[in-house]
Amino acid sequence: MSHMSHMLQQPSTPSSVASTSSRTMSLMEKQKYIEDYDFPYCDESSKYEKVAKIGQGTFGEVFKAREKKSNKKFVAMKKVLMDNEKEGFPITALREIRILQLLKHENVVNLIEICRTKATATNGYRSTFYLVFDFCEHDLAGLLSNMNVKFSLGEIKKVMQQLLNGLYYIHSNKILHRDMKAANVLITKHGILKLADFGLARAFSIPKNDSKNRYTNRVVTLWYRPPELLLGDRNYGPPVDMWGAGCIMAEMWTRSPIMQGNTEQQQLTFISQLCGSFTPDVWPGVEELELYKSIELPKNQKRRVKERLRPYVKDPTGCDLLDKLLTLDPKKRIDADTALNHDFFWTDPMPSDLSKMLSQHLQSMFEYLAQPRRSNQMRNYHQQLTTMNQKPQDNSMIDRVW
Amino acid sequence: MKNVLDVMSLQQHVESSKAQAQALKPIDYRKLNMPGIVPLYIFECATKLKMKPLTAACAAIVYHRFFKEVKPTDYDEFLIAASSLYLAGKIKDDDCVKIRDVINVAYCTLNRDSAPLDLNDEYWSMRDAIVQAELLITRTLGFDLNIDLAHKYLLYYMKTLQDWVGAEVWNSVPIAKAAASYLQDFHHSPNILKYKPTHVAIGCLSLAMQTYGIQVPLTDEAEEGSMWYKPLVKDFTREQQWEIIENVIEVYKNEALLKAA
Repeated sequence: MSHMSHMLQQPSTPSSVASTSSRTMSLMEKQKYIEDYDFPYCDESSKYEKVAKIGQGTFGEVFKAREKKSNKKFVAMKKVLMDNEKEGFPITALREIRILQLLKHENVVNLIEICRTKATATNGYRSTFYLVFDFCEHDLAGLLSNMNVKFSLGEIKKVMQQLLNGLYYIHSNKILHRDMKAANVLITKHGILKLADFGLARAFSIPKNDSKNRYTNRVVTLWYRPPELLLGDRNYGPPVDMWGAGCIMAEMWTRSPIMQGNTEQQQLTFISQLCGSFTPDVWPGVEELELYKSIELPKNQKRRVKERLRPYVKDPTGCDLLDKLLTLDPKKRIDADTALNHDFFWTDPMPSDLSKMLSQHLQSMFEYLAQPRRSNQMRNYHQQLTTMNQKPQDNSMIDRVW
Repeated sequence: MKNVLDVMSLQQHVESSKAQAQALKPIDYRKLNMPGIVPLYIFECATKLKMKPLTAACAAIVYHRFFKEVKPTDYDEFLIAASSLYLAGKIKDDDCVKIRDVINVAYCTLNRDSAPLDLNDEYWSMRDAIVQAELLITRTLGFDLNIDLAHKYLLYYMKTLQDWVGAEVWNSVPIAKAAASYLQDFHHSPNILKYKPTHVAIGCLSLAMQTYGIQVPLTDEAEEGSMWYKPLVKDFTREQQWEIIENVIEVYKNEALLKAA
């Protein structure tokens, strides 16, 4: 227990000076000391009882658990992976905690507390940490992969309205989510949507005239990653989340992710085929992005967002909002506030409550639990989409992709 | 009247410490068991690590908050100091705070004449100790790590006052620099935790204005209701203002004691 000897007494110090804590303990005493140490503000995780594993987050497993005291209250416990122990508490986990403590909103998942396991001989006197959240019954990816779950237009509007409300709130608090995808959108059995998994989130600032932010562009699951990130932009902002919102919105009708690239190159190709070629005309400044010149991009592609999504979406205002969310130029992409004022949310059928529809489904639906079925289905959809929608004008390119 | 005299002593202190700066010898931290010695160590290390001032201030707050919760004699204060520096780097996203630099700086500042540690057992146990202490601190603080520093409030108050007193007066004396210094130095004292960040900012700004004799137009020192800070912080009284000012001055007095020892 070298670390404890340090904590209680600095070995490099001659015992005659300064150190006020120079009492020595035997190994046994130290172990007992660690085991019995009381942290008044950080409860033990044993106050909850694990029920099932429900997912795999960016930095660890997620469990459903029951609070022992009440025996009725359910929580989700997200384990903090302490992979790189030598660097201490992971900075990503620390960021997630600080961000979640800051964000309190109906459409953002609620962090109840941080718990720890007792340090004992079995875990080498090192605690495991858990983030404890209010439990949500479903995630959107899980719901969409279950064909028995049917969303009416009003219900789709309610989902999107809540999603945009959540994004509006986090963006006005200067937070970027950076991992928007259907699996990170939770829905309670009462139909309340919660943005979750802030493991990649960070605070952002609006850079002054002459400076630029240098954030990592290795964020967002590939299928939901916006074009500016794929082209290497490091000075990005809230529009990265709005692109993801667009992908999720389309998914409400298509029932699986609309652009499922296997590589960044392929993802960019899919985006061009849907949203048109990347040119300085439609996107001034694109030529300055790091990868614009080094990556081969499809040329002369027309923008076909409405055309290709109309067969699924049908509702014209819905198509229009999708078109505005899936805008290539991040500066022109619609923001959460403007999107909430879009006609889509203010024409009949108006957004309608989800709880009634969800009450027919008594089992939790999570992507994690639905995985085998879902990935199959995605593959089918994938092929179908490519055969259906790609009029190969440029055969050589299609060959390379497939 | 006492308060006016204290400000004068501060003005004198600024002068005399300039002279002292040249004759100063490095402090042997382990030999001096006096209040304020560890915060001094934190800020020396922070400077050597080229930390942003906000990160350094954050480290000091983490350190003070930790020792508000526990018995100081239970822990090696210098270890907690090193760990607070490391944790503050993570909290403030200060990219330049790397664990190995923290270890080297923390070690060499404490052991003045030694070379940095080789990658031997002592290095690894110190690294382990810092990392474990970080977990101890985060748990002791209940993972409440959104530290609200007074700096941002000070900035806004100064922006407001700048227009109020007018550019000519404002630029005639280094008032912004003085206020920022008082604020940063107040972080040496655990008493900073006793006040709201907004109040701390007003207190430091108020001291800076008194140091340079700046009067805000259309305000009356004699009347509580017409003090210049009233529109900025409603829940602040003149009593609190004097308290904070005294606390800041105390930091400089204590510094003089430390350097004399």
